[in-house]
Amino acid sequence: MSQTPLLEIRNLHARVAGHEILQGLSLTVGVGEIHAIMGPNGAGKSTLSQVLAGHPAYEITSGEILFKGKNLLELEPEDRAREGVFLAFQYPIEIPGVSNSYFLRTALNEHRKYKGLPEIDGAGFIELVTKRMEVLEMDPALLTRSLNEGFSGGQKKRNEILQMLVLEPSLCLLDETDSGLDIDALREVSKGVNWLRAEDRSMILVTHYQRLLDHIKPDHIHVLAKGRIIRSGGADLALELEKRGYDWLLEEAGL
Amino acid sequence: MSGEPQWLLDLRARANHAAANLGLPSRKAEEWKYTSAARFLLDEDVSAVGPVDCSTFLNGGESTYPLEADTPMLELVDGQPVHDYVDLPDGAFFGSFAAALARPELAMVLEENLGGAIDWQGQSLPAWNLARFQNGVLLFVPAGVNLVTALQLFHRQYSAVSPAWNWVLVVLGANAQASLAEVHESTSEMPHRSLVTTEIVLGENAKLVHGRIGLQGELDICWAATAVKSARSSVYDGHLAQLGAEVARVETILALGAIDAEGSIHGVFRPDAKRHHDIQTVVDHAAPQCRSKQVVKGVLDGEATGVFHGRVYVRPGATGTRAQQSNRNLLLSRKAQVHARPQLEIENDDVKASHGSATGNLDEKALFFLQARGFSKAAARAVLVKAFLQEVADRMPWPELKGRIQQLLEAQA
Repeated sequence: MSQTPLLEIRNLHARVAGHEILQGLSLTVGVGEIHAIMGPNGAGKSTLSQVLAGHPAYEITSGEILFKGKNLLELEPEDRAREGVFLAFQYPIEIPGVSNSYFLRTALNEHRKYKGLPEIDGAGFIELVTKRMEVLEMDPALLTRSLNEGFSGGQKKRNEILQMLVLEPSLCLLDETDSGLDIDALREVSKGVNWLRAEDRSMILVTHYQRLLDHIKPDHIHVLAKGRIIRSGGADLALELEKRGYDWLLEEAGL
Repeated sequence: MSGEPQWLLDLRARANHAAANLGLPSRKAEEWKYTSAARFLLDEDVSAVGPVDCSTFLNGGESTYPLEADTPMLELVDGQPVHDYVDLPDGAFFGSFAAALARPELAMVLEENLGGAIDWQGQSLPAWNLARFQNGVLLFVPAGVNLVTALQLFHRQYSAVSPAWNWVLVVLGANAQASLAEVHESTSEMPHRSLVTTEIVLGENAKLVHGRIGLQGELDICWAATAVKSARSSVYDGHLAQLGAEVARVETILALGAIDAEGSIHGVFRPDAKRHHDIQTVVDHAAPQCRSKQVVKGVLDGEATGVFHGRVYVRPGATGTRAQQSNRNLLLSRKAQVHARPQLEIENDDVKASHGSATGNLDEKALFFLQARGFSKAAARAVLVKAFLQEVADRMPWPELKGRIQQLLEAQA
């Protein structure tokens, strides 16, 4: 079966505040594939997530990103989202005064409008969001509170995944979603992510640790260091990294 | 009825004298540093406005808006009342000064209270306003009467030629309750100027919910002041929203001079383009056990300038005072600026007071987060502005006005 890859990143260079963080990164993600990106601190993992989502602080100096065959770099962040790119933030934002349900429903309707679908009404939205919250074992009371305001770390991460379950993106980018989660929260978050696994949906898990990969099995694992991918492999690579760390790979790459 | 009664003519003569002696405040005065008083009062105004003959503004004793109306309203159009009064139950009165002067018991209320709440002896704009106001509106609620129905007063301007100088007097008897929203509106194609003073005299345990909503056209120049005189355990619940006008200065002077009185001011101002909004508050704690709260939020866009100058005085005898003041401003553009000056002067030890002011930009992280969830940049800005103002806008007690204000607040983001 040959298909256009969902995402193709070619020789990407990106800088922020004068520092070149991504230095020739290339990555291809096929439709339905799950990729994990691991690597030491400062390797550029979060930069990659932010660049894909379209954060304005990052300047792309060369290279290209094709998403569903389109030039992703030409799209505004909101159009990337509506096209199906979803970034689960490492540090979810608190917005006092904006209720979680208003936010979620508006986001969903922005997506639907973009696709030419009618807006979802209040009752339809509540039905949908209630089902999704059940998957994550989330307290329904969180819906009426201000977005992430006063949420615990675990609640914030679950809320990110809830948004993902409601918006049903074609590319899920999870930026260190496992950081700061206890075992139970990690299990529930992973349950949500696995619930969303589908043949037509791809995922990129950016993580520092092996433990997320115990819950969500990736097809491919990449090691990112000094702004580019220095090694790619299967699930066994994660185990080897767990045992040996990153230094041997850095040495091999001459870094 | 012909002409104004002698006491009013005398009062106006004294105000005229005070105004002429005071002259306009200089830019050197702290509270006039960023706004020139000369914008509100031109030399030609003094000759153009007044002196007024009361008989010229009587409207044939006509009533408007029967009791069943949801929101009984009065209009002053270019300084002239469209109707004389609104029918109200239980001896309450809402109508023009002219109509009030025609009834001896209300004429007495006017004579006893007019000019008694605002310091026209010491400030020239109120002095000129008192000397030359074209017409006024009295809201009188007798002791013990609770006016359940909210009232509205429209200060409307259609004529560009002459300024409108209005005076409003609100007198609530002991245990009386009322709600009055004053709305400033005008056509947007022409520049209008106006001076409006509202004096509020509260009886013991009386409660007034009061609003000043500035929806003027974009060329207007408007000065409006509200002065509140409290009584024991009275409550003033004030709401400001300044959304229009090229230059607007909105002053609130809250005198908490009787034990256990309470006052609050919740305000928003939202200038864009090259507009200038100046919000001034003075809260004077002069008696024990009084409470005050102020929350004023500004959102400024374009090359707009804003001023928040909030003064809280706590006098030596005002023990057990609780005073809060908070000012937050959001700058939506690089060229917008705000001058914030929260000021607290405390002269006794038995006080719990807090004040603070902060000015910032839209949170870029929040903006990006919303965009990354599919909100357009404009929608994301609107949501964040709405969220910023919600604390104040949500408290606006008049649903219709609140809806209109929220639409305006969001539309401009």
